[in-house]
Parts: sequence; structure tokens; C-alpha cells
Amino acid sequence: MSGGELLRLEGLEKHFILSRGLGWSRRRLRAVDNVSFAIPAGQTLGLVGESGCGKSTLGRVLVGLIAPTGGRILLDGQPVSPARSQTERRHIQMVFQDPYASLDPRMTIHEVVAEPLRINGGYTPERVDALLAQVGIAAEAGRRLPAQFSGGQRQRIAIARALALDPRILILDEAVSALDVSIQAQIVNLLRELQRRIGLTYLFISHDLSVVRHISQQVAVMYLGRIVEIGPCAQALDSPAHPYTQALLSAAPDPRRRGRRRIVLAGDLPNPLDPPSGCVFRTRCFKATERCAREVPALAPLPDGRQVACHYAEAVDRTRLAELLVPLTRASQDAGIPITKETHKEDPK
Amino acid sequence: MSVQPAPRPRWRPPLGSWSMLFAAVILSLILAVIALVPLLPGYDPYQQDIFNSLLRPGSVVDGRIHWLGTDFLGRDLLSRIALAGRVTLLIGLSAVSLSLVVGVMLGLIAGYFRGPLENVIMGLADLQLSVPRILVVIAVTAVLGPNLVTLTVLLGLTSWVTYGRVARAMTLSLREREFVLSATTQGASSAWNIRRHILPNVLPQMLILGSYELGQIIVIEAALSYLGLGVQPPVPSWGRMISEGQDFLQIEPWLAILPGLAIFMLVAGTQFLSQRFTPEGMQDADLTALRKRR
Amino acid sequence: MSVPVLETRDLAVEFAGPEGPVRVVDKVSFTLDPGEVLGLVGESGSGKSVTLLAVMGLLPPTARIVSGEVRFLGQRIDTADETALQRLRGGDMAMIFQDPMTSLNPVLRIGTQIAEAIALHRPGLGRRAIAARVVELLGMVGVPDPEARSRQFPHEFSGGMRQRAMIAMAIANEPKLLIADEPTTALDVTIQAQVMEVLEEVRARTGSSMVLVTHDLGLVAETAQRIAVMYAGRIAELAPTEAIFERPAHPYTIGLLASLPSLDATGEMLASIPGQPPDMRQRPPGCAFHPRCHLGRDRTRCAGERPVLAALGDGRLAACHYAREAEAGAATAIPSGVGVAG
Repeated sequence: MSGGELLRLEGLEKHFILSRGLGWSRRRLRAVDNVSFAIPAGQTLGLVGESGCGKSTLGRVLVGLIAPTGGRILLDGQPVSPARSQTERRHIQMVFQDPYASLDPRMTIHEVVAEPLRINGGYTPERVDALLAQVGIAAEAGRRLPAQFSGGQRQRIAIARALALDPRILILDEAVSALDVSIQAQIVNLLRELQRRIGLTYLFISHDLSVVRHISQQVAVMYLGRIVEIGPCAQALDSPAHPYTQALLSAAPDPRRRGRRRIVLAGDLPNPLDPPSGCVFRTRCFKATERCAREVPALAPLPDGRQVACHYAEAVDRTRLAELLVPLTRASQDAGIPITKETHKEDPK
Repeated sequence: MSVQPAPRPRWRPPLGSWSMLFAAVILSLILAVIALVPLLPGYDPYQQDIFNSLLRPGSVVDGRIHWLGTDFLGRDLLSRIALAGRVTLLIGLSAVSLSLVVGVMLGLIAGYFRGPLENVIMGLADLQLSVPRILVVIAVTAVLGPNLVTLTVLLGLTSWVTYGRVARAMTLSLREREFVLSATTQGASSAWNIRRHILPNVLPQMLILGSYELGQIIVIEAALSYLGLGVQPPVPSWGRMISEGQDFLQIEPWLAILPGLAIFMLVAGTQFLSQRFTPEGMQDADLTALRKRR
Repeated sequence: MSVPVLETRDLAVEFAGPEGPVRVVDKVSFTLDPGEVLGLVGESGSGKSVTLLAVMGLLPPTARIVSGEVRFLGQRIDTADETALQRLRGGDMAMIFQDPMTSLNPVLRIGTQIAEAIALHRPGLGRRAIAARVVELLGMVGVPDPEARSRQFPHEFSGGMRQRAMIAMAIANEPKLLIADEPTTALDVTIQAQVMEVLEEVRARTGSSMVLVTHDLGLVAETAQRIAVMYAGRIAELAPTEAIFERPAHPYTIGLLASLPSLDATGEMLASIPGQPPDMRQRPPGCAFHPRCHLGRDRTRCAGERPVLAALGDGRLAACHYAREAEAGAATAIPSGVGVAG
């Protein structure tokens, strides 16, 4: 099943043009900026980043809800037309974050799953029952309304619906983030099982690095619309090289690492309408120098093959992050530098 | 696996709750009056009997009981209320349906397709709101002369704005909801989304609005009839009956109170019952029974 | 022994439901010592937030405490009248809620809101003193340029900054007890790290005790000294943090820890707890967890007899008939050594 590359993005971008006031000053919001990657068939790419980094916009561009403003999407080596054909639509399907919002409250479960089949043809009650069975929902439950199901069960139903058109790629947009831990594990397992059984390819969008590590072979880290690090999980998550990846990994609370010291990033996300010059991460970065304000770092490969967009990229083992970096931030705090800054002021030195 | 002994289901009044039951009772009562009383032999809502005017409820004349008494021209009040109910309901329901259809249609279009069309529709709504509805009706009836059809159409066309605005606002949020996006990614057309997802989620609210509007329309119709621009005598309407009864409020208050009660029963009944179509109401009601009807 | 800051004994809360009252908190007992942080952990619907609302006397009108008691510094507060509670809330007992956007008034300046919190409880304080205190507090929670920012409105603050402002407001009167309900759930991890750091700092400075309610095991692991794990309205296990992670004794705790995805353990399937949390209207008899439990599923005792929270030594308590057995099996159930402290 796996091997060949199924999905490829080439320089994909989505810029929103926002006009303010009387429409004189038009400003460009680079929600997705020059994003390129490929996912081999039957594999999973994890896309991580914090809110506002553009990961959800990217998902919506891929599924055709938002038209890109630049770049190409290739499916099986063939460019996807901007006005999607029905087959192109079928091949890329999406599961949304909120299982309470993604099912029409007035439709029975059976109808919810039947809808894509009714739109595209091929509806039979048996097919719907089979789809429900595939995600562990009994066919008899089909007569009930979404309100009668728990979050985990609803997410199963949402997955059944996404599978109705036999897609090749599923975009999972924070698909397990709203669920409780024990239920989240059930859904993650279900997704893996489905992948193994029908050879699905996933783009797994999430802010949770542990879940991503569990389900993905590759990971891409986004910050302010750009990919800052991308590579196999074993590289990018086990020995992160970009300071942002390092900070994310260090900040994530983990009961397995109690008592460790965290890298605490300074400040908030900069205003995306007015991003910093040079490297967009430099305003919060503990490694930033003058060069970072001048030169935009290109996404360039490290010797091990993973790509990083940082002038000072250096792979550091995850377990040693804290020892290396915490003294640095502590020192700056102790020296009286506030641990937070105004969002992006010019030229921090 | 042990099976949990099912908790003893608490007894529930028919229709799920007491307020629903109450609403259903008063609504069926007034509807029964409207439907059945005119069928009774021997009662003519137009027959005057000046010697037996202003009789109290329950009075007997020539072996016939005037259950609700007679009005100032000696006409049987019960049969007049029933007939007036038909007139009022006809005007009210037609006007409400007309405004609901127009309002929902324009609101859905504005909210779903956005763009210049939305500006035009919402501009129209603002314009409409800036002119008092009663003035429009007075002006037009003054030109065309009072008649039932004109009145109904006018009332309908001047009250679409409420539906239009609410429908647009709901559509704006619904079209961004994930179940609509999900259908879009699966190839659903705009028409499909509107028909399958937006309309069914907007409509219950609209019906509730409609039941409020029905009350409004009945009151406006009463006001117009009072001004002589609404239903023309001798045809009765509840509004006219109240205004006629006003003159006798001191001596025979039921002349105004009874039609008022009729309006209350109809409006309150519909409004309570319409609650059942909200999501909360759906929970209360027996869901499976409701679903089976589909 | 000092008087606990907070103590609940057999607290039970019921909500009115269409099919009769629903018990959502059932015989919850815990104590909170001075300076201590207690983590209250559970999944949605476990009753953790309702427990807190009951403690603060903020239950909605449809809910009521049906039995048990709540003591604050030794005084009963579940029976206290509203005036007494109002004096307490925001004074000795302060709260930090999940969503700072809805807990701040959007039309009032941040500084004004903090000033009000101070003035309410210290009527004698002059305007200048209050204004100075507001700036001091904002500085304390790491809001840069506190004087200027105190004149801004909530929408001019980012999510993390708003939560800092909420913390400033909560500690304004140096409370003995801080109650934090999912304080960082709405925030991104890097911001969450900042906020938790600030919270720890100010707590250390004021010496407040804290109840931290969260669904995030990682968060409590780093903050709390003791953890109470709730399931279906009851405390399943209550133990020192180290013990919860290294020697969990309730099958639910074990299942929860096992189902946590880890950065270290990959490749294999996640362990998961089968089934769904129970509908509180139909709580399973006996142990509420038994239908999902690998130990209790087939045991009549678990289905018939409700386990009480019993001591296992070293301050560990678990509500399980077979806690010893569970504890022994925990090591194999949880992959990749949850117990290994970093």
C-alpha cells in the first residue's frame, strides 16, 4: 500500500487581503506561506503548531473549502484543478475538530452517514450500516440523533461519514483534541487500524505533540504560516533542531517528566498582519541574533535529511532540552528582563 | 457486564410537560369553537334581535341558549366569535405565511450567498423598517379601498423583515458550521446545503417567530378594523369585536373580554406549542416517535 | 496539626432533571492543607467542576447540596448565608476560571476591574493606594508596562495576558485559597507554560493553597502535591502526586495513565479504556467503573457493592475492592514507565 507519494504540495500559499478603514490600507495576511511537503501513500504526516499558525487554513485549502492564492497541490502526481472535479473531491476528505458541530443536529445518524452517498450517488442502507460498523457503531443506533451520542461516538460517526466516499486521504483537523484522554486513545487506535486496513493516508493536524508522535511517520511544525521544521518524527520530535520545536516539546506538560524545567518562550505570537522582519520567530526566540532580523532563514536540510528554517539549527536530544536551555531563560529573567514582551517591537537586541 | 436496573421512568404528562399540555388544551378548545360552532343549527352570527341585545351569558331566548350572551345588536356572541375567528385566522395565517416565505427566502439568500445581493436585501429591510407599517397599510388601503385580500397581502409584505433578519443571521453562522462545510467537501451544492442543512435548522425558529407575529398581526388587524380600514361590517373579526365592545366596557365587559380571551387562547396556545420545535423541546418530546414520522 | 484550609466531607450534589434528581457529585471527601496544591482530575462529566461550584456556593439554581459539609478554615460554609459567602469570595477564597474572555467584563478597563476587586474587600483603602496596588499586581503577574496596560480593555489583551490579569485579580486580596478551574485549557502550550509559571510564582509569594481542576494529567503532575482522580461523581483515588503516577491503585487511574499518548512510546496501539463514561442518570450499581474495568467487569462484588475510599498507607486512598491487585498489575498495564521522573 505504501511507497509512492500520494499527496504533494508545491509552494502552496493562501494570503488574505484585508482592507482597513476606508479601504486605503490593504494588508496581507500570509495564513499559509510557501508550504511544500509530500506524504507517501498509506502514511501519516503530523502538522503541528499553535492556534493562528495556519495549520487549519492549510487543511481547508487541501480539502477545497478555501482556494489557494498560489502554489500547487498534486494528487498522485497530477495537479488538482482549482475547481475540483467530483473525483478529486472524493479523494480528499476531512474530519473536523468539534464532534458537536460537525453533525447536523436534526439528522439521524443514518442520514448523516448517508448524505455523501446521496449527494454522489450509491446510497444503500446496507452501505451505511457497513460504514457505521467499520467505526464500531451498531446499525440500530442509526435511528438516533447526534445529541444522544457522546463526543467519542460522534467522532466515530464523523469518521464513518468521511469514509463514505472511499477517500484516499483524510485531513484530520484536531480530530481528537476535543476528546477526553481515554476516549482519545480509542479514536487514535481506530484511525490507525483503519489506516492499516484500507491503506488510508492521513494529514493529522494537531497541537498535541504526543498524539502526533503516536500516529505519524513524519511531522511538520508551523509557525506564522510557514513550516519551520519538517522531517521524520524520530528526528524532528526526538531531537528537534528548530528553537520553536524545542520550545514546544519542552513546554508540553507531561506526567512522565515531572519536575523537569521548561523552556518558557517570551511573549505572545506576533501580529500576523505585521510579522517581524527576517525570521518570524525571532521575537520570541532564545537564540535570536541580529542576523535573524535581517535574513529570512530558508528551509534547508540538515545532514540527517530533515529540513529546518533556522540560521542556528542544531539538533538537541529531547531529553536534554531543559538542561541546555533553561539556564539561559532563567538567567535572562533573573537579570530583570521580563518573561514576556509586548507583541513584537522592532529590533530586540 | 451487569445490566443496570433501568431507573423507574418518572410519570410525565402527555406531550412531555405541563405547559405543552395546557397549550394543547386551550388551542384545541378555541379551534373547536371556530370549527364547530358555525355548524350548529339555529345560530346565525348576523341575525340581529334588538330587543334581546346585551344579554348576559347563558341567557335563554325562545328556547335557544345564548351561551356567551348577545352583543349590542342582539347577535349571538358565541357564533360571532367563531365566525370572527375564521376571518381572523384566515387573515393572520395567510399574512404570516406570506411574510415567512418572503422573509426566509430573502434571508437565506442574503446570508448564504453574501455579496452585493446581501447589501440590496438588507438595505431594503432597513428602508422598510424606517417606515411605520401601520402608515403604509393606511396609505395603501386609502387608495385601493379596504378589502380582505389587500389587507392580508399588505400585512404579509410589511412584516417579512423580522424573519429576513433572523434567517440571515442564522444562515451566516450555520454556513460556517462544520456539518455544512463537511457536506461541501463531499460535493454538496449550495441548493443542497440550503435545503438539507440551513432551512431545517432555520425553520423551527421561524415558526416560533411566526407564532409571535400572528399575535402582532391580529392586533394590527384589530387596530385597522377599529379605524374602519380593516374587516368591514357586518363581517366580524376579533379586533372589531373588541373595539365594538369597548363602548360597553363599564356595563357589559364580557363583550370585549371574550374576544380578547379568544385571541389569548389562540396566540398563547400556538406560542407554547411552537416551543416544542426548539432543540430543547425536541429533547422533551418523545424523540423516536417524532423521528418515525419522517 | 493545623486546620485544613478546605475540607469537604461526604459532599453530594444533585441536579434536578426531567426524570428526577441526578446525583452528579457523590460522597466526595478531601482536605487541603495550608500551602498545598491539590489537583482535581477527571474527564468531562466526572463532577470535578460541580464539586468546586458547590464549595464556592455557586451552584446553579437547579442544583443543590443534598448531604455532607464543606469547611473553610474550620468553618462550615455550605450552610453559610449569601452575604457571608460574598465576603469570602474574592477575599479569602478566590477563583480563576477557564475562559478569561468571559470572566472579564468587556466594557471595563482591566485596571478598573482589579481595583473593584480590591475595593470590595478593603473599603478603607484610598483611590491612590488601590491604583498603586493594581499596578503592583499586574507587574507581579508579568504584564509588561503595567501602568499603561491597566488602562486598556480586555479585548486589547491576548489570551495569555487576560489570564494573567485574572490571576492578578484573584490574588489581589491575598487569598488563603485559590480555586483554579482549567486555568490554561484555552491557551496554547507555550502560553500555558508562561501562565502556570506565573501562577506558581504568585502562589509561592502569597502562600495560598490551591485546588487545581483540570483534565490534563501533565499539568497537575507538575503543579500539585496531591491528586484526586474523579470518576462518575466520586473520588476514585486520592494520593500524593508521585504515588498517583508511580503506584496508581485504582484501575481507572491506571487506565487513564495508560491511554495517555507519550512522546517516548510509539508504534504500538495506545491502551484505552473500553466503553464510555456512564450517563449519570444511570450510574452502574456498585462500583461505577466496573463495566469498563478489566478487574471488576466479571466480579459480582464490584457490581453489587460500592467501594469506599480506603487507606493504602503513605497517604494513598483508593476506592477499589481490589486496589492491591490493581496496583500490582499497574506496572505491566502502563507502557514506558510513567513513573520515571524526568
